[in-house]
Order: sequence, then C-alpha cells, then structure tokens
Amino acid sequence: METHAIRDDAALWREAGTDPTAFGELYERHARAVYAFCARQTGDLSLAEDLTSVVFLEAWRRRRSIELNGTSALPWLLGTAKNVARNSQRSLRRYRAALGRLPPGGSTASAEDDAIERVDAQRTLTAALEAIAGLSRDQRDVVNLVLWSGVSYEDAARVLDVPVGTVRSRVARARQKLGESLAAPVTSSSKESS
Amino acid sequence: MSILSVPPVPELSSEWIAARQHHLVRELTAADRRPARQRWQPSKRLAAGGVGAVGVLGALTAILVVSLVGNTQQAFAGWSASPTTPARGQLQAAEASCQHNPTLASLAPSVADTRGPFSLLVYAANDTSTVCITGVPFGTGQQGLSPIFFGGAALPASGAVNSPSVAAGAIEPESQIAAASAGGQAYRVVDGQVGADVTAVSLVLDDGSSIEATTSNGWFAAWWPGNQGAKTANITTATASTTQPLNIPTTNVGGENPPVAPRQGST
Repeated sequence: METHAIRDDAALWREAGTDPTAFGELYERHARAVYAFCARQTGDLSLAEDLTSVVFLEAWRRRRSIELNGTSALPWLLGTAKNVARNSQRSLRRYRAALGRLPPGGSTASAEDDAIERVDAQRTLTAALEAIAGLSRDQRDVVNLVLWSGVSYEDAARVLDVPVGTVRSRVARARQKLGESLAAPVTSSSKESS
Repeated sequence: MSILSVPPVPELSSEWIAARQHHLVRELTAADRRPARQRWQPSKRLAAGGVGAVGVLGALTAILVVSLVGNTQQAFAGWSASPTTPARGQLQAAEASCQHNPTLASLAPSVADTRGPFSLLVYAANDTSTVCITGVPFGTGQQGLSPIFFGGAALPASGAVNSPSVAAGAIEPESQIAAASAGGQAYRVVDGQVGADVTAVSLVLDDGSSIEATTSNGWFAAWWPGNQGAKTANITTATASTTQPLNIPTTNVGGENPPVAPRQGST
C-alpha cells in the first residue's frame, strides 16, 4: 500500500518557494477557513470568495519573504485576510487580472446547499455583524480571530502585532461590552475545518 | 446565544475548492515563467513608474546609485555561499528601500536572495532586470539599507514585449558585475534567467569554489565577495544535473562611488 507522509505547513511553505503544487496543497488545507474568516470580516459571501483568492495570491507573492511562526500557515493567512478585507477594493484592483482568470464564483455551496440556505446564511451573518457593530475595529478583529476562527491568543497576538495581554484584554472588553446583547440571533454551526 | 457562537458560513464544497486550487496552481505556474507582478499589474503602471528615468536603450541600460561610508572593517561579515533564511522583516525592509527607486515602485522582486544581513533583489521586466542590493557595507542609510542598483528593468522603447525563451535545463546569465563596497572590498553579482524546469543553480568560480544561487520566478541571482569570476554553472532540474560553461562579459563598476555605470560591454 502506498503511503504518504503528511507534511506540516512550514514544510509546504518552504516547498512553495519553488513549487506551485505545494502552494496548492496549502490552499486546499486552508481555503475554507480563510473564506469563513473573510465572510465574517466583511459580511459579504460573494466578496469573501474573491478575497480568499486574493489572500492566497498575496501569500504566493510574499512566500519567499515570509517565515512562518510555528507550524501552521493559518494565522499568517488570516492576518493577511484581515488586511485585504480592510482594504478590499485596493486588494481586488491589485489582482483584478488574476481574479478574472479564475473560475467564476457564486457556487460556494455544496450540491445539497441551495440558494435558500445561502440567503439564510447571509441574513444570519449580517445579524451577527450588526450585533458586534458597537465594538471597536480592534475588538471586532479579535472576536473574529479568536472567538470565531479559533486562533490562539498567542497566534492572534502575532497576527495583530500586539502583546498577548492586549489580545486578552480586547477579548475581555468585547465580552463585557456585549454582555448578553447577543442572546438570540445566531444559531451555532460547526467551525470551519482547515 | 452569546458572542461565543460562531456565525455560520456556507461551507465551500470540495468541488469548488478543487476547481479553484487547480486554476490557482495553473495561474501561479504561469506567473513563475514570467516576471512576477507584471501579469497582475497593467503595463501602463510600469510606464508611469518612471521608465524614462533610467533610459531605454533596447539593450540593458544601467544605473548605479551608491551612498558610501568610510572603511568597513568586516565588509561582508555574515555572508554565506548559500542563501540564508531572511530575518524577520529583512526582506520587507529591503524591498521598501529598493522601491525608493521610482523605476521599481510598481514591480515586485522576481528573486529575493538573502545571505546573512545582505539582501539582493532582482526586479525583472521582460528580459531585462535591475539588481538592488542592500546591506551594511553597501550604503550609508539608516540601518545600512541604502541600496545599490545595477541594470535597468524597463520596457523596450517600442513597447514590444520580448518573451524570455531560455532553453530547458539551461540558464541565460544577464550580466556579471564586478563592484566594490564602500570600504573598497571587491564583490561580484551575477543574475539571469533560467529554463522553466530548472530548480537550482550553483555557480563555480575560477578558484573552484561554489556559490549557490537563489532561483525563483524564472530568474536566478547570486553574489560573493572577491574578484573571482563565475566559470561554470551546475544546473539542477527535476530529472538531471548538468554543467554549463559560462562566458559572461564582466562589467566593472568598482572604484569610488561611480554614479552611473554600464551594465554590459565594459569588460
């Protein structure tokens, strides 16, 4: 029986310096998580599709100048996603030609995932983002990174380039500020796998 | 329900992921065969970026911008014959420094070669390139990052685009620069294009020593202290290793602070 060793992200990232196929493997691993993060950052499912591609194109562009901290590329990818989402129009402009050559979006759902579910998800997502709209941008970032995307406090600190204590305090303030105000609209879902 | 609840997002299907992954890899593979950024940026940005500032001669043009310091006792301390992993922020700082040259402002480096504290970036456009080196002995700017530039990455005057066509398993050196650091210590720089299947390039110098080049995006680059020229190249592909004789005209730009120097033809 043929067996394959599972390479960690750091090994793939190094190989990606010269091998687009290794980079494609990173995409396969993390595209879902990056997409979910972008969707929760922007509240726009269609925009999130394009931004996901932008994140990986940006990662490819910078693959030789970035050294991963730890074994997972996901924190770095989410940090990049945060930045491209914040400057989405500029990011899209930069990679407009490359995005134009990619397959058309609009089919994020699996076969059984119909348009109604997408509309419902968009509505729920919008409600969730409205619920945290009263938080500062920094607090919203840590909510998405730590509470919604499962990034550790330490990795979030690297992504945001702030001390771990700052991440903890932002999370605490976000919890405090929201209190029980979110006590209804969102139904839970399993966290996107990476 | 609390803030801890994760807002649901429709999960991307495996088919969607696979389709995008396939196209992304194809896109990146194609991008690897041409200068980075060029296909993702409108060519007019290159023109607007100050192409005329360096002159377009059809062949390679050259500029040399040097900020000199006094003698550096250990001019190339930390240099290594093989590329090293860049320190955190090293390449970002180098890129930012190099992009002060308006010609490069709209380009991303095709090769980023780091050897200890030194960073060499190759900015390629069509079949020409500009090499930018940053590091302590090369300049006087803050943190020693004032860069030195060799060559001119510029579109041909006609606007025509020459597609690089380097034979498989081969390299095509652009130039060999013989220069001197701020303290007068000699060093050489070689860059050029590689065939699509080339995965590694090592340069063998006249004295038999070997320098491992950095190879990416269809280009390679290496530099080393001293006056030894590059004699041959050991070229590695996925299936073979070959040796290619090199006969690269050497451009001497040594001496004290030459403001502009030709990149080829002044052997």
